Amino acid sequence: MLNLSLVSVNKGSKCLLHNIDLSISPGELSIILGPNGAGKSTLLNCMIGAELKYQGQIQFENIELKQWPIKDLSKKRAVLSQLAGITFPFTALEVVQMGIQEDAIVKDSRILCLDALDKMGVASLAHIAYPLLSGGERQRVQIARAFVQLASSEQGKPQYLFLDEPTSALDLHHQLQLMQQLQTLAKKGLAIVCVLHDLQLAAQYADKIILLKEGNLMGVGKASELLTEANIESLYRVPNHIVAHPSSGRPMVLLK
Amino acid sequence: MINKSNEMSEHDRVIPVMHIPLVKMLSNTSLSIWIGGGVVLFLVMFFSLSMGAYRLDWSSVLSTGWHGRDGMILLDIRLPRVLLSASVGAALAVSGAALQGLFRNPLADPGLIGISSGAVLSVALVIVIFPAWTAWSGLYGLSLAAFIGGALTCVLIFKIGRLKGGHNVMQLILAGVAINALAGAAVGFLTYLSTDEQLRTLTFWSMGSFGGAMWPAVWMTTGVTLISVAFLIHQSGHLNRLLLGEAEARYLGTDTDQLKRRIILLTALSVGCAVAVSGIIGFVGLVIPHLIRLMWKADHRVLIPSSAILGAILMILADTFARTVVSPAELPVGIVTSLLGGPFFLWLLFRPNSSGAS
Amino acid sequence: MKWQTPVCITFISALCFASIFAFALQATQAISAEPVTAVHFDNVPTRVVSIGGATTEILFALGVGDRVIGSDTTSYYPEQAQETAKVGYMRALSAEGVLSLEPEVVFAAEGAGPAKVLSQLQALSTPWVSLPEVTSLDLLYENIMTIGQVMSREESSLALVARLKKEQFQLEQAIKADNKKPRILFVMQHTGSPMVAGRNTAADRMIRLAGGDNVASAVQGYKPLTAEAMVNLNPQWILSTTLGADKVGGTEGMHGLPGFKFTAAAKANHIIVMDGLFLLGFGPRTLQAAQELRSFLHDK
Repeated sequence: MLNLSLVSVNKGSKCLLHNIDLSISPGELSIILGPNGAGKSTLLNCMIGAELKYQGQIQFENIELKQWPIKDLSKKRAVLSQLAGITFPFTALEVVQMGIQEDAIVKDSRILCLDALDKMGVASLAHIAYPLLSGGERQRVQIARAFVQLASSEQGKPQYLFLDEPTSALDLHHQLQLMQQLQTLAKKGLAIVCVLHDLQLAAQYADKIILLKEGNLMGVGKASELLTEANIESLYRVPNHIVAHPSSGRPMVLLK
Repeated sequence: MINKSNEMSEHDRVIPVMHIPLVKMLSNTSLSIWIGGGVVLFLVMFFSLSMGAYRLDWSSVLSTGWHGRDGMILLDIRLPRVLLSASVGAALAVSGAALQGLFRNPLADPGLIGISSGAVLSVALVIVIFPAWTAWSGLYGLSLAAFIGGALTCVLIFKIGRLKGGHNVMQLILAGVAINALAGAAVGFLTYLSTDEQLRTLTFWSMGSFGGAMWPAVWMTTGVTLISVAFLIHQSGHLNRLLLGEAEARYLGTDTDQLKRRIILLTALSVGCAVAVSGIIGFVGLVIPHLIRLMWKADHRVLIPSSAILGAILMILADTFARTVVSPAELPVGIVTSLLGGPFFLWLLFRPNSSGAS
Repeated sequence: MKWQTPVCITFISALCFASIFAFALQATQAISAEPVTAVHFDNVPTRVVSIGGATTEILFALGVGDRVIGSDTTSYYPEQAQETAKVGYMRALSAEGVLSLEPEVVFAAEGAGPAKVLSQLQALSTPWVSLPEVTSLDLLYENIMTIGQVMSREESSLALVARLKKEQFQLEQAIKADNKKPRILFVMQHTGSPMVAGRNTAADRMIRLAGGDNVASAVQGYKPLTAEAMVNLNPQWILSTTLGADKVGGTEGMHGLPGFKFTAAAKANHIIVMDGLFLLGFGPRTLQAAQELRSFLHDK
């Protein structure tokens, strides 16, 4: 469990997060939604231990997050930030290999990495230099790297995966593919927290939606409860219409 | 479910790995680098030992042993010189590779963070202001001064890098620029104060040469180099992660502050040592890691050991050239490294099928 | 603070390491870096390496120039010296380079080096004769006698010294007769602020030997001179080496020195250019150079 209680973050006089109460459980795909500047990234940073100047408490597996040694933390959770380039011509496989834990017990880490690349549909790029890959290909290589980080850890479940806008560089096909994979992983017991901008994807795949507005928690819960016309209007100031998805019954946001 | 379009476009892309049988033959493991490189290094050392201004009579070496004149020239002049150039070459190349990785900047160089200029300033101080120091500490006074100067600079860089908390890479580079400028100004002022002879001593010292190679210097430099290469190989996986960004590396379980601290310390130590025994030899730290990245791999697990070996090999060859081409005189080896390395590097960058990825 | 411990530990251990290393060296390399001067030779050496322009000149003046098989780049007089193997600049010698010539004796002027190379040569017991820097004519005579002794040319060296002493006497007498001391400035480098010779330089010694007054004697060594200081010093003569003058395009170029046109030397076009080794080498041609310089000064 990851529990946030009364978490606030202030930068100067600006309040980025205000009294957030939240818990993330294994087996759930949670999606953080909100307009620009709502505090989505700050919240994610609090959850992964990158933002340490917070008030309140963040309990990760019943221990205060600040107390976790970074090495132990890396075995429990993987993080995929928004991407930066790599200066040197590393191959895709080498980038994925960076995810392997130092004390990994896997027999053949190379096979593990190729396997992860294959799962992301980029196995054929294993020996291509990373700087030559397209944005979408890089994204998938990085996701494979995060998978490898968790897969090579000898410590048991539950494990956590945090992603910051993972679909931003992907085309429609790969967006759906990634979300399906995340859903599968969550069903297998992984706790996944994902920042997204795409309301449709969020509505289709989220087990739990976390709605943020100006640093405040607007609501946590199922898509059908939270994605209402009033909420969307209040968050994005866009007139909209919500209909039910013909097959899944989940909400779909139509713009007026 | 492999995307077909990727397979198509893959053929158009240039693979920066030299996809030649040699690379396939040697697998990616460090072991094969050590064995293959070690053999070449050994051959180059032997070649270099057989070259020189003095015409060595091998039969005389064999018959009279180490106490004959030829044996002594081999043992007391040539062998320490070959070993010293090998370890200085390895130390500079590995330091360059590690600093480029640390700063995520292909132009990083041991000179960049000011270690070399700190050493030069210290030597200039000794030559101009405290000539009594050399009288006290004998032949290696200047080496010792260079070493202390390099180490002090390192401590200073740490203090500056720590001023605003954390080891900000940008701040380290800027600190290096500031230290370089300050040391340059101070050396300039000392040059003004110096006598003609002091000036010439300083000039010749800073040009870089292995001419004075003796066994104690060889032991010290080889020791420091081996420690630093071994440590950096051990940390090469973490160096790789650093390229994803410091935050990402931390998420992956790498203690980045500790890693940066150690890399800076070890490079300061080995560069300080190298400068102490051979003066300023530029270009090696910059070019060797690039050569390996362009021709082979950027992965630090391969880059670090192969930089060490290639650095040693090229430095031995450069020094052999320096001491034989105008024999019985010799060229400063720093000039040779730049003369040989510069055009080759340019060719590599601009060759038709260059990936230009680095 | 967190960083201090590892930094301090490394630094202290490095210092210990370095000092142990330095002391170990002193023990092992107990022999000093200064090579022995007194060497006894059973036979007259036939393979000689000469380091230093003046040293080479003395060897040639004693008639043993044909035995000089190697010399440094400062040895360019007489012309035969240029045909010997060159072992590099006297301060940047190579141990193996010198050894490759298999010299039976090496004559080296003070300042030859670097020190580590000298100690390598010494470790291989290379016969080495070190000659002190000539700060007075007496030291020149001593050096001539030393070389003559090693090369078994005592008679020639005695004759040479006697001739030089006679020239010295004549020069000193002539100078005594002069009623004034011409004010001279030696300029070594002509670009930027000119570098001029102060006290304790070979140029200062030569100016005094020729009966002149070094206007820059207030400073020590070679120092850059500002335009205003040049006007203030107001030299009657400017002295330079051929090499230095050539860099600025000969004597005309020297008129461009900052502040120079306001000096007495410029108005009278009093510029003397002489060969560097001849003028400042302090070899056997020193008195000849001094006389030549004096004859310029007095327009003879």
